[in-house]
Amino acid sequence: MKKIIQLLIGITFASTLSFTAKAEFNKDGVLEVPGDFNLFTSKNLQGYTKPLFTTIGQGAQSNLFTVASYDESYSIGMDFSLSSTLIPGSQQVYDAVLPAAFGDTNRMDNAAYLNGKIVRNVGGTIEQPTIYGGASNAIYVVAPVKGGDPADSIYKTIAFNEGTNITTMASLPAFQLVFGLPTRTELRFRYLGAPVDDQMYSHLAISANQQLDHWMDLFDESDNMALALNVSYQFMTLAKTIDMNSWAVGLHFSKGFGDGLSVYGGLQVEDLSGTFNMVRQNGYNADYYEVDGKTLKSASAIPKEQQLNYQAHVAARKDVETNPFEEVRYLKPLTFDIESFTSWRFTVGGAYEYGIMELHLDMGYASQMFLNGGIRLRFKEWGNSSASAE
Amino acid sequence: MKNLKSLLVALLVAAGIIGFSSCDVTNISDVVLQMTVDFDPIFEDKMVPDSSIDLTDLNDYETYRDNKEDIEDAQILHFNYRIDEIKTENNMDIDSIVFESVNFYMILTTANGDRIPGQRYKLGEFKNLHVSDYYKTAKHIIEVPSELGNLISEQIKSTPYFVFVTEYSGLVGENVDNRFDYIKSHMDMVLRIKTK
Repeated sequence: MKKIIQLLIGITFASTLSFTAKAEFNKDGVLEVPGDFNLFTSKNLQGYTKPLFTTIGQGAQSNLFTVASYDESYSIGMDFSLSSTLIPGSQQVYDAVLPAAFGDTNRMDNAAYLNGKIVRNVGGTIEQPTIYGGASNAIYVVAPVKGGDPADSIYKTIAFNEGTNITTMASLPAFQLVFGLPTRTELRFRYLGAPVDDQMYSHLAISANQQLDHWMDLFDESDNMALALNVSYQFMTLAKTIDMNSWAVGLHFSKGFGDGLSVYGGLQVEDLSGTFNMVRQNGYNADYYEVDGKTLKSASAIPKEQQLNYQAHVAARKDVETNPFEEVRYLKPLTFDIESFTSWRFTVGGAYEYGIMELHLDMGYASQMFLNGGIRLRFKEWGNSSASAE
Repeated sequence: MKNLKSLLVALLVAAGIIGFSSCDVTNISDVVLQMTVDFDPIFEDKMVPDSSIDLTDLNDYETYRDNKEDIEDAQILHFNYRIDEIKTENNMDIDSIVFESVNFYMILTTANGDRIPGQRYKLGEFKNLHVSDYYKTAKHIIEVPSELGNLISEQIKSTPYFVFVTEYSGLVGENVDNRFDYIKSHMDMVLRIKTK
C-alpha cells in the first residue's frame, strides 16, 4: 500500500517535483532544482503548472458528499474514492511572459515558428503549452538591430518546456473516515502522508455535512428527499516547498427511490491557494551581491565560511549568463502562488446502498469536468430509532 | 424494478471503470524539453563555392548533460539561419550579393571528430539567397522534416558530436566577386528531447 501511495503521489507531482531525479531537498527543506528549470521563470512555471494544481485541488474537494439524508444516530465508516478529470483545451495552453526586450524592434529582432508559420517580433506574452498541453514554440532571437552587444543575454534564442499531451488525468485517491452524529451531521476526515525523498508529503482534510431540510420542513418524509450543507477545509504540505490549502462550501440535494437507490446533486464554491517554493541549484544569495542586486561582490568581500557556496554560485551563473530571463541569470528562487482554475462546481450522481456498503458515482461540471466514484462502508451505527446497519 | 436497479448499478460500475481507465496518468512522468543549439561557422578567406563548418558537442549544453542518461527520444525540429557579417575581397555591396543556393548539412562524428560513415544529412536549403534579406534577421527558419529529424535523433542518442556544414554555392551574376574575406553566420537549432 505504501508503495502504491508513493506511486500515486509521485505520478501526480511528477512534473512539478521530479523533472529529473536530480532535484533534491536542501537542508532547509526547500527543493533544489537542476538546470532543466532554466527554461522557467516563476511566473511561467505558475502558468505551466496551474492546470495540475487545479486537478489536485478538484480531487481534494471531490467526494465530500453523496446522499443528503443523514441519520439521527452515531455511526462510523470509511469511504474510498477515485477521481478523474477531463482537461479542457483552454487549460492546455498559457500565456508565457517573455523577457522585457522582446518585441522591441529598436533593440532586437525575433521570430517564432508557430504551426508552420513564421511570426515576427513577438513581445509581451506568447501562448505556450501547460503541463497537459502539446508542443511548445521556440523563439529565435537575432542580432541587435541598432547597436548593442551581440553577446547580450537578451539576444539569445529561447525554448520552452513542452506539455505531456494529457486530456484525462487522475487525481489523488481519497480515503476518508466518516463519522455520523445524531444531529444529522456527518464528519469526514482524510489524511494522506507519504515520504517524497526524505521529506513528508501531508494532506489533511476535514469536512462536515449538515442536513437542513428537516429544520424548515421542506419535504414530506414520504418523498424521500433531503437538502444539506457541506463545508470542507484541507491543507497539503511538503517540507518548505509546498504549502497549500483549500476550502469548499456548498449545498447538496438527494432523492431516494427505495431499495437503496438514490440520485444526488450539489452546487459548491471552492478555492485552492498556497505557495510553491523552490531554489535553483547553486542559487541566489543576496549576500553575494552589491546593493544594486546585480553586481557580484569580489571573492575577497565574501566571508570565509561562504566562499565555497559563493564560488559554486559564480560557476553556475556562467552556465546561465546568457539566459534572457533576469531571474534565471541570477539563479533567483522559483517561487509562485498556487492557484486553481476552479472556483465552483456542479455535481450530479447516483448511489446504491446495500447493507453496510454504498457504491457512489458522480460527475460534474467545473473548470475540469470530472468523474468521481467510490465505495463507502458503514461499520457501526447506534443511537438510532431506525434499523441498525451494524 | 429489480432488473432496472441491477441495470443502473451495472451502469454505475461500468461508467466508473471506463472513466478511470481512460486516464493518461502514465504520460505525466514523461518530460519533454526543448533545447537550443547554436553554431557560429566562419567562412574565411575562401572562394565560393565552398563550405564552412562548425563542430558541436552536445555535452557543452547543460540541458543535454543533465538528461543524457534518460533520453528516450530526440528530434531536430527546425533551425534559423542568419548572416551577421560579410565582406568580399573587393567590398561588394551587400545588396548585390546573391548566392544560387546555400545548403545545410549535418555530419555525425566520433569524440575525436572522425566522421561516421554514412551519417551525412541534408537538413535544408535556401535558393537564390539575397544576403541583404538574411542580414541580422530572424525570419529564415527551416523546418526539418519529421522523418529526417527522427532519423538523425537515433544517431544523436549514440553520439553527441556532430559537424554543421554550410555549403555556399557560386554567386548569381557575371563578373561577381567570388572571394570572401569572411562570412560570419549564425544558426540556432531547436531539439526536442523526451526523457523518462
